Amino acid sequence: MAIDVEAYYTQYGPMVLRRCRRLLQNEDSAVDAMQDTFVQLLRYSERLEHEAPSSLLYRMATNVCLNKLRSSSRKPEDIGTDLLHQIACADLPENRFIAANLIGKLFSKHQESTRTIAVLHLLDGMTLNEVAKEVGMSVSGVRKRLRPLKGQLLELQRSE
Amino acid sequence: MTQKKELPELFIEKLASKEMPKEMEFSLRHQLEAENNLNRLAQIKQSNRKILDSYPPAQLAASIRLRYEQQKKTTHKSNLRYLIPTSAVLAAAAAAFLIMNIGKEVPVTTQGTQQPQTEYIGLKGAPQLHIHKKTNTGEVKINSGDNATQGDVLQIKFNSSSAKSLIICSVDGHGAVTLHYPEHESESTKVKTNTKRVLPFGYELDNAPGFERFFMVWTQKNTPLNVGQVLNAVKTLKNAESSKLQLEATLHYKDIIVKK
Repeated sequence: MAIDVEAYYTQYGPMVLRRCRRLLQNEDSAVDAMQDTFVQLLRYSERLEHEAPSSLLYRMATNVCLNKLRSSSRKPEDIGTDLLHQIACADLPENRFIAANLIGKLFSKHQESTRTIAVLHLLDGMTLNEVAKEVGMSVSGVRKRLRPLKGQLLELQRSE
Repeated sequence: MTQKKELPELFIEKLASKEMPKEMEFSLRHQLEAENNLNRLAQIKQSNRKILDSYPPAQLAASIRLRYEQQKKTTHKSNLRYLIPTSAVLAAAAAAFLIMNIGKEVPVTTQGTQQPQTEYIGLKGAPQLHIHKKTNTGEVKINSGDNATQGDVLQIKFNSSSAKSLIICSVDGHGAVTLHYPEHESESTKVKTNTKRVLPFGYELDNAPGFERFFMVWTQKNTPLNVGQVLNAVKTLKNAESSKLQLEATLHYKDIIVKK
């Protein structure tokens, strides 16, 4: 599916940048992440057939930012007490046997990352119902995905 | 878990982009008004103008396209390493599945019997539970004892037949119990008889070891089922993979075990 990048950027770029600014708290990183988000849109443009661009780009931006936070926080002391960093760096049993991007291409189904789901619920304050609707999962599925992460966050909080 | 004091940021953005479903738009605007936050929409419009001035569309679009082309070159080489063996594995797995499952019956355990019974699809009266695995070409039926893997998405379907209330749930190798139907414990378990239904969302298998065992519990009585009691019965199974479910006499169940 061919995308008019300039048109999508004009319509949604500012929203994506606001999201990246909020999560990364750094203008250069946010602009970088914003561009990476649109690159993801170009790579997975078929997903636009199934959902509204604003929802899709918002979640893609969240995922891109979480990956940036994760790769920049190499040491435990970098994680700090910030919930967003804890989510980004939590040890999660995400699908490992093939890169998640490749699975999305092979099976035409994107599996929303647990971290993105966690940010939507724990940081953005969306209810489980709202998150489930956004990511196209059942409420019980969302709840189950969050279970190991909540256990880790509690553990981190207890150890402080 | 979270106290929602204001509308989530995503909802405001969708309102501003006019991508919120009509039926929700009115109530969200009403909520913004109640929060004294209608100016958030105006702020977004201002912010849009400012960002597009600072980062002009033509310039950013060119930069994005360049990044995309650069990443394509890097990704192509590493993908080749995965695609060839993976496609061969998938083809072999599909062929093996077909060979193993020609003429296979679905083993079913029914409460009150001493031995597991084999049920033939189409037996009158008893509801049917079906699990399918989504693939890139469609769906593959999962029979009890079949294998699936972390990340596989399962589609749950049922035919209510003579059941008047039913619950579908599953337990995994960690002992975690998940309710699939109804979606919430507070919702009704009543179903219309002789109705086929596909649950609206796929269920993704996580990394829990060993198995995911799906239960369909039903009754032909008019009284709806107690979801909490059924979930508790599943949670307290001595052996989650093999023990019989202990239920009241008016309840029946079937199970499908997906091996991992």
